[in-house]
Amino acid sequence: MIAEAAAVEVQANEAPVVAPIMYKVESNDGKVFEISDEAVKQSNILSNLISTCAPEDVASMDPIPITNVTGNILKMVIEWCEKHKGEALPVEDDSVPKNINVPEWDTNFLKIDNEVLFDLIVACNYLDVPGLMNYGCKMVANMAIGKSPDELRIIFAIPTDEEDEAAERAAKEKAEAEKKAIADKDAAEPSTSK
Amino acid sequence: MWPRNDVHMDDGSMTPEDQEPVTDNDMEYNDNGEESSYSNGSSSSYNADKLSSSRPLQHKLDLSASPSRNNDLNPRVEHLIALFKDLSSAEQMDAFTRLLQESNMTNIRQLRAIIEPHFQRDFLSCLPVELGMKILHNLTGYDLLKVAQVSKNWKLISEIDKIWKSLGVEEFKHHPDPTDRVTGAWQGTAIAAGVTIPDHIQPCDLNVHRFLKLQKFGDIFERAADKSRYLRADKIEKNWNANPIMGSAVLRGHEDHVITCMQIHDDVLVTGSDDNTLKVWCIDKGEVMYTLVGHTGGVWTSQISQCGRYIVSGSTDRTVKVWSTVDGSLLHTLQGHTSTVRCMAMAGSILVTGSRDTTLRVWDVESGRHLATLHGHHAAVRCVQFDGTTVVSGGYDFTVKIWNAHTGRCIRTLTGHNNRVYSLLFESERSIVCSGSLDTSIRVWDFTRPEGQECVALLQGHTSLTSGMQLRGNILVSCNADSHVRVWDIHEGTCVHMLSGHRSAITSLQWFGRNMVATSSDDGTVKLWDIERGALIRDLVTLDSGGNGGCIWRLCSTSTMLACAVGSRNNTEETKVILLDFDAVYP
Repeated sequence: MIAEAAAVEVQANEAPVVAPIMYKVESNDGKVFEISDEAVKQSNILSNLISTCAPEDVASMDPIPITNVTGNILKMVIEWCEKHKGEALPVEDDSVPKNINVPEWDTNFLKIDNEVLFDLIVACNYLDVPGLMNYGCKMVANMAIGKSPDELRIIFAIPTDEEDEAAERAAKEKAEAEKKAIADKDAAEPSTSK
Repeated sequence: MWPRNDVHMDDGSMTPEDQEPVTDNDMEYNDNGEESSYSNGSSSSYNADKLSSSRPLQHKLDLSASPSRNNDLNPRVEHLIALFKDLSSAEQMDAFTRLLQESNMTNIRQLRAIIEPHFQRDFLSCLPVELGMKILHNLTGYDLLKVAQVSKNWKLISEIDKIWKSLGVEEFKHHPDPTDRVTGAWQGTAIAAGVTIPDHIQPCDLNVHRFLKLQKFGDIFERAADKSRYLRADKIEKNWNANPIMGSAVLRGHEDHVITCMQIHDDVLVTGSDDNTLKVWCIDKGEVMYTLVGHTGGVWTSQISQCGRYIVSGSTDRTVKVWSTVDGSLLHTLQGHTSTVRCMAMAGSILVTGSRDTTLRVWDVESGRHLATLHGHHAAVRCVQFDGTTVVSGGYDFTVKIWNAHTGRCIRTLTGHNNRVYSLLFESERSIVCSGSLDTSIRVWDFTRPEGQECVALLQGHTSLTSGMQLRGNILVSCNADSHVRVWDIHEGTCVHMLSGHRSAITSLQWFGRNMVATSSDDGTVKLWDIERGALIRDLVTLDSGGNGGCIWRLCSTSTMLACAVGSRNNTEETKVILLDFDAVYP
């Protein structure tokens, strides 16, 4: 009985220290994820949102709605924050050259389609996750380093200015043709009524 | 619109020929394309922070909506989608492959337009500008120039001043404003009988270049000043390294005499000579402003004060004279030395002079007062350095001495050289002294170390007298009478590069830019070296009389101009100063 009591005491003592507070967040497509209180600190927006919540109320709270972020992107952001919890946030200083080195884990984490990387950067901007933002921007910059203008156009799917102007002219002509068709249709109706 | 489409679909389903359905599909896509274009126009007006090149991408993205619209119209397609969802991932891939084989090129091209945006994303144009800037902050100046050539929108983002400002200081060398350098001696060129300037611009191109120089601040400067500064710095460096030399001039003076010393301060060039005079030249106007007359013996050393207001000269007549750069007038004559004044150094308005009489004297050039006399050397003082508090002197007694300028006390005597000390460097922040000697060695000293242990490196390899040195960080560059330039690592005590090419003693050395060193020689040439690669960049000046007495005595430069004093000891070459222009305008 004494041994049992000691074991119970040990468990009781350890429990509050070990268990992190888990917050629930919901993406715009209805998916719910959990993020720990340490990881939340990587996002200034989320940190501010939870700063007034009493810890004892967290379990019964509705999930925090993140209306601008989809489920798969939000999942990635949370995964990154959990990996980097406890780390200091990077300090922004635009007066000196950026000297960002992306660690190996993050490099592999960011080997994703440009579409996903784009959405991830937008989400970082919305949630204010400066660490992941810096790494994401560095990955995009690395695609551009040492490339010629033609190579950059291919990598980033950018038309030349001439192609861009031609596309704008074509779009304008189509819009005008459509207006003309509508006008013709309107002209037909009055004659019918007559 | 819709009823019309229905009619087309009915026609398609009724005909037995295979080609007909394809035609109908094309028409449907065209209709959808038109709608997409229209919505593209409207969406642009709501995305002010997205630049115009987002439209093509938006256009492509709208195409991805067309299959859904198509589903509503065709139960057969709906059925196919339902079947597709039931397949496993591998089965879906197999189905994709076989569907592609059954598709014509028109459909495949449409499919590519739908898929490509997933793999290629125009980040800079689709993201808000401040995020685009975060990306570009990671690039170097060179890459930013490439980015600007991709499209108009990328150019707009890449030219934001904040991005260029954040580049390292190294990239924005703080050059003075662009210069004219077309009047006076610049009107002609330095190319003449007996003087070769390889790579000099052709005379017919010179006038075009001079016309282009008139616009000192161009279009880029007006819209993106910091990019313009970067481009100018890059152009100036290329002007030194590879581009044709765009201007040169000859300053004639000190006829039939030796130019013994030469200094530059801003636009002022001062030359001293054994004809007992100094001349003060305006570099940009290419003309002499004053001739400083008063010495009764040859001038052997001179300095321009840091503030640029005083010229100080030392002479075989044992006097030191202080002149005004404003009007060339003599302000003070400092007497006290009992033999030739051979070297001097200035900090602020305090001057230290070294003499063949074995002493150094400390003066205030503003008031002309004598402040202290430093006794201790046993032979002529040959070189001196001064930081405002500590004096370092080298002499023909083989020693280097450290003095306190205020008390006149000798703090330390550095011994080790076996022959006369001819050149000195002093970096007071690190208490480092470098001394070059006729014993062929260069010694590096740290005089904060215990007495007798001050020598931290012995640099050996030269075979004669070291005439000049410059130190940056741990890299020391030395030029020697043995015709070689050596690059040393003073921390390791090793020779990193030996630069060969001169055929006679090297007289002067100047290190500027990141890794460029210019040297002048008794062989009548000025050479430009890359000390990082350890290679000759090119010859800047070559005298035909080199090897027959023609020599270049002195060399000095600013970041955009080089001056070399030319002459000979046997009258084969007239005495003059050749100027080369490496300046550029702001694009």
